Amino acid sequence: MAALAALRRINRSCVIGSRFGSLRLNGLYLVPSHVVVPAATQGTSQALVPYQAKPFSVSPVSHGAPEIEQAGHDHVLHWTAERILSVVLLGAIPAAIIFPTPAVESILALSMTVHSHWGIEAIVVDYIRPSLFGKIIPKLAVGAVYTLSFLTLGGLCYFIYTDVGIINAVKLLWKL
Amino acid sequence: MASVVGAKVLSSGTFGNVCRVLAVRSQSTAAAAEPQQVPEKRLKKFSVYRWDPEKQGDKPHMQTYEVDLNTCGPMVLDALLKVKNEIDPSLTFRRSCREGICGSCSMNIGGVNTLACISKIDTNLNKVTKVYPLPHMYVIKDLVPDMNNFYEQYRSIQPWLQRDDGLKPGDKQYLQSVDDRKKLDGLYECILCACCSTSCPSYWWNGDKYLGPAVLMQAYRWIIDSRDDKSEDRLKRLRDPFSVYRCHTIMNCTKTCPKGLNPGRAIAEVKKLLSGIAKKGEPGLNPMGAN
Repeated sequence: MAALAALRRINRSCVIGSRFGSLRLNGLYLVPSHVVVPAATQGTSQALVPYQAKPFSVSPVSHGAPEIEQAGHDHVLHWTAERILSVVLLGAIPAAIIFPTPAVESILALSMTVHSHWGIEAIVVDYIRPSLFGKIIPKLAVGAVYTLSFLTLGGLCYFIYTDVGIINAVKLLWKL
Repeated sequence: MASVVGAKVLSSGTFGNVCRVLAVRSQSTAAAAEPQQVPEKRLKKFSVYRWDPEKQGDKPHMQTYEVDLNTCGPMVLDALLKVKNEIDPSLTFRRSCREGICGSCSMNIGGVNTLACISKIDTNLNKVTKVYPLPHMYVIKDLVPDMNNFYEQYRSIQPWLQRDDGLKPGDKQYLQSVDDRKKLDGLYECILCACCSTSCPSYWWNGDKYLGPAVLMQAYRWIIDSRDDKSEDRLKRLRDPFSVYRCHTIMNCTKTCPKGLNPGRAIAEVKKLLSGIAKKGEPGLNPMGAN
């Protein structure tokens, strides 16, 4: 009886072994044994352990998403803020056209700068990435985007309070 | 056959017509007896990406094969199989079901990621059909890309039912209302061919950290399953800036999906759930049965 059970166990592991073989042929990734192997085959002698395919890969494999702690920050609020800002811009642009006062134009300048900043930052994060540029350059690039955005905001505010303002400038340009 | 001739005799009316019909018949049988005229070959060129890692110093290159469409099936996979069987046995590609349900033969045909087995051959003989492996994937050989990262990402979203009741699989049949089941339509049909993920520029640039449309659509499929208890945990794992938020709604995924699914929409739904704009909602039917 015990021999029969052992035989059945061998038989079962053989089936799994052949399945592993075909999996490997298809270039699939190794399935960890502790997940797939039935409890009955665990703790048996070495000969009964099913054949394990070696992982075959020509590319780096990332083991799932980075944890939030690793990734630096939680991005959910950022996404929500982007959506809210888009709605704000829908109101801020017509408001500034109707009332081109410095106060309203400052709101327009701030929301437009933040909007474009997030857009350019996303492009920089997408393209200037650590896997190509190493650890330092991507950080410098993001820093450059922040610098550019602050300069833009400062310049726009200076223009609003010392010159004709954004909307009037656009109107003047349009007259040309 | 006799009844057909009889019908012709009856409808023809006069004896002369009968003779003519019989004469035509005998002529056509004579023609059939002669060796059939061979129709002109319809040679179609296929330019296929080739690279053999085992050949020393081999560089990726395009190789052109000519296939006679008169003796070939209608799909690109038929042409590739014909090339492999009759012209070049070293041509390497994945294929299995030949009917668009296994997802093995995904490749880039004429600039579009699709399944070779369900994409028809362009019968314009002047045009060369170009066949590449899935874009921006590491190539193992010829048209075979390395899918390990893709599968590992799929594993990372834990694509199986998870519940808090501590029951073992098979202990209990879980109930689901018709409406809750309908939410899974358009999601569960995905065959993980990776056409969408490998068409996504964000996945090209950040495939190591961004999960990609195919995997995110399956993540959504498990998040909104009314029988699953772990949707909060599932969503928590997606909050970082890369897993989901590298999606910029480019929508190449939806455009290319050979099964006509909409991964772009699924990702948008995941973003809505993450931000709290949308909620999963209570199951319409208690999965355990008793209310």
